[in-house]
Amino acid sequence: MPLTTDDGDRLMARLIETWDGLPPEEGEAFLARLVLLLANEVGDLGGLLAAVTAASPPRP
Amino acid sequence: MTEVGYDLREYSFKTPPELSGGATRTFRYRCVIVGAGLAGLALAADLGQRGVEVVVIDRDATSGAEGVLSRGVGYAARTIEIFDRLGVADKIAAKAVTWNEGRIFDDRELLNHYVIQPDQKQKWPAFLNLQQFHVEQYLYERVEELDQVDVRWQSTVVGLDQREDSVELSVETPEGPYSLEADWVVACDGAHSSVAKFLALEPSLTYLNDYWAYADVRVDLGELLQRRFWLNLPELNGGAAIAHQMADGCIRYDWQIAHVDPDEEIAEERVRERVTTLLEGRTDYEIVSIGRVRMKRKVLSPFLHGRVIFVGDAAHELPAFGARGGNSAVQDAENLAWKLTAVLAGDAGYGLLDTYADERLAAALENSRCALQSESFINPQSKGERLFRDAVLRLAREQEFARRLINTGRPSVPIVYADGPLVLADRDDFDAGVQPGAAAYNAPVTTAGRDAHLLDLWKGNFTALYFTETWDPSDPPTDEVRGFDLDHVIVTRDPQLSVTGVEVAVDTTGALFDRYGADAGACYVLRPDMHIAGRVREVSPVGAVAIVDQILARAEQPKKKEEELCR
Ligand SMILES: Cc1cc2nc3c(=O)[nH]c(=O)nc-3n(C[C@H](O)[C@H](O)[C@H](O)COP(=O)(O)OP(=O)(O)OC[C@H]3O[C@@H](n4cnc5c(N)ncnc54)[C@H](O)[C@@H]3O)c2cc1C
Repeated sequence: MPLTTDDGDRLMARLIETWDGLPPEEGEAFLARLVLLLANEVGDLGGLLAAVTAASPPRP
Repeated sequence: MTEVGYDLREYSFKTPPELSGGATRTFRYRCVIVGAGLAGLALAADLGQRGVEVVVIDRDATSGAEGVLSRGVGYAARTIEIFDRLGVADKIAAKAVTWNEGRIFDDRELLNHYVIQPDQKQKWPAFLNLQQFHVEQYLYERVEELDQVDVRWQSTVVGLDQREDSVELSVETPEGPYSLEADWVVACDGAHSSVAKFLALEPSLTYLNDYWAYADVRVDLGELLQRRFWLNLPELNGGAAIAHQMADGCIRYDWQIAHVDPDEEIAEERVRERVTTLLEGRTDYEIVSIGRVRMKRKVLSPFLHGRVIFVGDAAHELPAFGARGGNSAVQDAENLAWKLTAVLAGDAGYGLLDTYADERLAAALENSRCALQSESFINPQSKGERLFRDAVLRLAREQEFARRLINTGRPSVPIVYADGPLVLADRDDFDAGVQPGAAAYNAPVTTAGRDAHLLDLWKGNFTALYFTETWDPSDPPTDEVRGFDLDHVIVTRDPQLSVTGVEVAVDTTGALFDRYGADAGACYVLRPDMHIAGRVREVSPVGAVAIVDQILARAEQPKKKEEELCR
């Protein structure tokens, strides 16, 4: 189920707030844990791999 | 290396016919195996049981690596099934320890305690731990019973010459050199294969930045020590350690060492220091054997060069996580044994040996993928490996899914061979069951009034399994296809079903019909290595014969001409 615009706005705010509250060296570890937790919620490997591709920078 | 506390049996040199009676003579043999380790002995036992005469040459005087080191520990269910066929599983199981629990620690904090639920239907436990030299000794005792097998200890192969239609081997012995000729040579000569060197073959080889020391330690803890795995140990500068119970009251400890001074790391004093720490201060133990190893990945492709076939560590080496080296050596041997038997008997051509090379290369690559993924978790090198591993370790404290992502070695499971000459893709509708290419599933049966397991009925041949409650085929079962024996077994849920001339196995627990997806009836054909060749819904010997006929015809198409491959 896609996020509603309203929920999406709330999530964005929370992500930014959390990230900005972290010491710089903890940002990556936080994101890695977040990705794993979300991946477990999604469960579908095909969808997850497509998301990894979509999030990757385009190859030069 | 440093100390040997095991009492290994010594095998004496016996004068071979080549050196008997004055002048040195040369004989020609059908098959010579170089190396009497796990691969060589398992292959010799299998070939011998199939009636093939074989000479095995080993430079050592004991079972075990050069007589000093304790090496492999863990054997997986599939390998034990093969040992069963070779007549050594009972001995191995009686001596070995079994386990089904493990604990994983981050430093000293317990992250995961898992219990692997045993499949009660199986004849053998999922894992057995036993020092490798015991397994080798039992295999050797087995081949000693077989007239077909001639094992020559203390004999070193020092040269090899591949000719048009034979291979010549030069051997050095305590009583002088001799040479022998062979139709086929199987290189089971381990990690530093001399045979590969004689043929100037260059495997693809990567040494990993991962070094381990290990020790066999005799200590009485009052109970069996089930698998423990520590990550991030401060006394090892963040390295890992493993403990595992073996036979003879011994525990294997492995711990990661810095490569700066590996010799210092295996000095006895240092080893005692490590072991005492891992045993939480206890000192009432005896160190029986010490070794060290560097993890590497080696694949020699293809496994077949003219008339020389590579098996086991001679063909592939992997990081040890998941206990794949010895297990895959035995599984290689079983894949090869029936094919080589057929080629030697003139019932099949080179194409069948190509399927050995292809199927077992695929297995090696799959094992390599698994082992390297564990390696990446245990010994993270890149930024990404460390980032995601640490994320998993942090989450594992609260999250069950993250505990499952802790990869300290996934248990070795048998490969499912891909569709190929010897594996027929389904044409009929099977949405469940044991897929073609997979190893056969075993479960209890009663047959001729006695309790057994299904695979006890297997005699080393192609075997058709008919899942049915009735039996009235229009034609009597054929027992030979293209020179290969075909056996027939009826699997039924009807204890009253009585058939003359075909063995009947009653699926007393229903597990076989269930696992083979056979409620609507099915015919499965097992290859002589107990992997599924193909399956159809129709229950008839004609269908089974058609499967065997078709795969053998496909395997007859050699990829390359035999002449091209010899030189
Ligand atoms: C510390 C450690 C732990 C391990 N743990 C496990 C485990 O738990 N489970 C597992 O499955 N695997 C394990 N392995 C891997 C396993 O030991 C090997 O994969 C296995 O021994 C391979 O068997 P092989 O027959 O191919 O080679 P080997 O057992 O090495 O046998 C090769 C034989 O060839 C002989 N030979 C060599 N050159 C010549 C020559 N020129 N002439 C005559 N003879 C020759 C040698 O004497 C030797 O007997 C472990 C390995 C190590 C080092």
